[in-house]
Amino acid sequence: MLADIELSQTDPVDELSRIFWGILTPDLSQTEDLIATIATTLCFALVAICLSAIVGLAISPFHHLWWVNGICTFVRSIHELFWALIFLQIFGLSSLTGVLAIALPYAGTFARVYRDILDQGSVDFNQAFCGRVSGVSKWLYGGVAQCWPALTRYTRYRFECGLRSATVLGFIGLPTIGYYLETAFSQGLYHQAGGLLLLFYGVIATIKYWLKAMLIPVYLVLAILYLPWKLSIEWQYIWRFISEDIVPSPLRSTLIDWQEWHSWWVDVAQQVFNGGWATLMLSFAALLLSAVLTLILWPLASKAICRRGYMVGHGLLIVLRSTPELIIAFMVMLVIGPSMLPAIIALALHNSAIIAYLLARTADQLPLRHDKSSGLNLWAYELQPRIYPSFIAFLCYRFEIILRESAMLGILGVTTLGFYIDSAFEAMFFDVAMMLILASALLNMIVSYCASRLNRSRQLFG
Amino acid sequence: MKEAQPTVKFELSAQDIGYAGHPVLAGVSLTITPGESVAIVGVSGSGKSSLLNTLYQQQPNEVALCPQHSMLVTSLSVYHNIYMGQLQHHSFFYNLANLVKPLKSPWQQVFKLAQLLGLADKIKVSVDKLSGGQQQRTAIARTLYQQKTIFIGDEPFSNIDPVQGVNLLKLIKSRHQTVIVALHNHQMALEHFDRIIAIGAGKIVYDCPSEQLTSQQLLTIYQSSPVHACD
Amino acid sequence: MMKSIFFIVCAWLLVFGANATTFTFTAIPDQDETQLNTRFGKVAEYLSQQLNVDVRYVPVKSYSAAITAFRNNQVQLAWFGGLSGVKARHLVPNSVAIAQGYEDQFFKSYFIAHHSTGFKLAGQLPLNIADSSFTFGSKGSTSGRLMPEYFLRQRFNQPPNKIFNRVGFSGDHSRTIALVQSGAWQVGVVNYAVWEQELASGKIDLNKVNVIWTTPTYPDYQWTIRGDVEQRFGKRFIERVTDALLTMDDPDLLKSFPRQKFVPATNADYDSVKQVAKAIKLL
Repeated sequence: MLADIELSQTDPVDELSRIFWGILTPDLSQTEDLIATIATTLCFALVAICLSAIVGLAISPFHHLWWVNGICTFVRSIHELFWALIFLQIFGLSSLTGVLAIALPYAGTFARVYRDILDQGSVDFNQAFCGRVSGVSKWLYGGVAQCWPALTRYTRYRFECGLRSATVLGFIGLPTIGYYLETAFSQGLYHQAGGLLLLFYGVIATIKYWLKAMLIPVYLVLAILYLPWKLSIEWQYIWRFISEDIVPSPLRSTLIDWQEWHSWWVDVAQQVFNGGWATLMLSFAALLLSAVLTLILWPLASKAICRRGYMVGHGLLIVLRSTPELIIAFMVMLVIGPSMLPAIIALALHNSAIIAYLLARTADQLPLRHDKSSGLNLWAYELQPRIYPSFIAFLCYRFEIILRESAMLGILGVTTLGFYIDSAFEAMFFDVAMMLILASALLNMIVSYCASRLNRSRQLFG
Repeated sequence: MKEAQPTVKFELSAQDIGYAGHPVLAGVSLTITPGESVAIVGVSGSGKSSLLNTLYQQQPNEVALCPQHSMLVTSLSVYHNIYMGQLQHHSFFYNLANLVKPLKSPWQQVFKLAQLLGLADKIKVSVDKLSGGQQQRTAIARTLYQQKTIFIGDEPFSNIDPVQGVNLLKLIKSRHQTVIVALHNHQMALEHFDRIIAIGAGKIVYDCPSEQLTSQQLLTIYQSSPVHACD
Repeated sequence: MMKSIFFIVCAWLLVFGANATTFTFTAIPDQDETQLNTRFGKVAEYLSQQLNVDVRYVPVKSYSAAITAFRNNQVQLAWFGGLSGVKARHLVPNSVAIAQGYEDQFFKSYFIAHHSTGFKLAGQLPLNIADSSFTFGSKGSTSGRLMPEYFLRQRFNQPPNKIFNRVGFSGDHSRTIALVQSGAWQVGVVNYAVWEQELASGKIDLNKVNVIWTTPTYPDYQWTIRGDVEQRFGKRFIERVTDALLTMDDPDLLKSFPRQKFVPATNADYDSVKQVAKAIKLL
């Protein structure tokens, strides 16, 4: 086995019981600015999703051009957290930093997925146009109008992802719910962490009740008004970042020391190869486990299979996919010790819960015959085979994300590319960080190219 | 199946069929007794499928259903699709094992059935690689494998040539006491069914033994104002 | 309702509302990161009274974010750790360290180990801790990373990832303690003040985790101010800020850091930290 998995003897009972007791007896009275925190989280997600959905939709017709595809893959292969750290250098701690950090990679994702949805939906429809119809109207009527339900369904799902991303941005200091969650959790204040987690689950679970299409413009205006935009863009910082910070340090002085230049490269190359290898191992293992867990999890949230009991499965999936991986990894590590294994388990639990949610939704929309079987037979013989193409497609989509989320798990002593990028940012070596980001983007692009070759099926969002 | 007492199997009296508030068929009254073979004819969208579904709901445990859109699981093999006719007779783990690798006894049964339907050479092929006619035969095989007393089929022969269709119908009739089929092929309806129910314009146009009908009379239901062909 | 709206507005002004005439500072205390706004809001109030200018506190979570804010002049004064202060002053010419905590003159770290390892308190770092699993605190921490790494390299003549069979970064001192106490990691290193505080509050079970070595002392947290503040806030402003910090004697304010009092500091006090950071390639 190439991946680093190892079990160690631990006695986690005390700490785990403290965590579970904390979640069972949540207490939010010690959290300051609770309302403002939730409002900011929602506003970041809403503004970022609206922005990225519009940009993504506008780009989607050109996504087949290799360079558009390349740029999209590049921007989405960088974790929101790293985008935030980059924008932090330029815009400081401002709303723009938070919104752009989410909107940029999401626009790349939207462009790709919108394109996929439109491609599936409009194949037959385009043949129905006769005579001269302008490209734009063809795209609007034949594509967008035709696929509107699938587009909105996907966008709505991304809003949930946006909330998670906004939360994660709190880990570096933007005033979202993650800011307090991370603090409470790392300081062992589990009552408060539990309260915040439950609150976050609640927000996610109720999205469908308050996120109504009609209200989105209203929410958007409120969000834009609420977020403070007062900001003076200091061009000198942007220039400094481009002309100085990200230039490899040995090249900054006029006299280039070749010795130093050589050792800089050796250092970076070592991190790229070590990190790249660990990242690939971790991601493949997490992908495999995700696939297995998804098979088990999605039927639990399917109405067709579990009937009324699906609410339980649904709740389980919300908990699994809304708990930051870092927290899952921490709890698993308490039990089995540090290695790649807690990272694999955390990534797999999180991602399989997301795929399971999407699959259950897809499966419940399939037409079934009147004499269908029920329960597990229905799962094994009818639904699973029929949603198999979506299952594979979702796994491929998520693989990209697993690759980039592996960055978050340096706590386990697993030296992924993300671990090195994080270290470089922490040490403010932006030149090294940039090189590593380029490397991880390249890795991501290679993987996503291979995945798209493998993934021939086009019946995704049925 | 011999000497079954002719008790009423299906009974509808002045029933509206279709969606609540928007019945596709209004005031339907009919009875079907065991042993009958009934053809249901009518233009597309006249409500044949709704009527069949209503009948199916009356005896779900005794009916082998062959729906219009055969709704096969196209990524599974012909074997597995046919086997699905008997899923509920086995435990889940038996079924699961059979999904991974076909088990001996069901394989033999299904293989025999597939031979009868001319599918033996395709038995391991996944359904999405079959022609429309082969898919329909697979759907019929699945229905036969349920081994019920009543067969309800919704245009089960629409993609199959008439000669083969007749052979299949004979096979179906030999294995079911009661056969109810929605059809477009009026020749087949006249020659191979005891009774023909014609629907159109939101109601039953006529319901009579096939020997009382001529091909000409039967065709009137495809005209703009269908007339009663018999009393 | 009005009250909560007012509260929200205030919170936002605190975070983003700093304008050109506002003197802004940030602080990441080494323990208890909760309720930063409330606690440091009081410090801002105190400074405002002493300096006669508008003073705001900006909460920042990571060391690198704090350094960035300082570098981009979003904050002019910061309560930095040893390493982050050195880094900030390296990036912002003319910035100076003006005060440190009394305790920071002789700060230290504790190496701690899970009881199953059998390591006992010793005058020297035991050589047989090699080949165990080892966790630092946060990557940019002086007491949880920089100085311990320096002492490890001195003792073993090798980088940590060669000494131990696994090296992690827990991200936080409290978490380091929790992880070593649970046995997930065998050995770890923490800020001594956090250890003492958690010990006092009963979070530590000495049957499970114990101190095995105390590092030599080194300078740690300090106040660093940008050199260009005098252009905006007038001559002698740095001196006035320094005075205000050194004369701060309200225990309630000092508790936020938490330090007994502040004492004068200079850039030169941190030369040792700077040398170590350079040696370990963190600068």
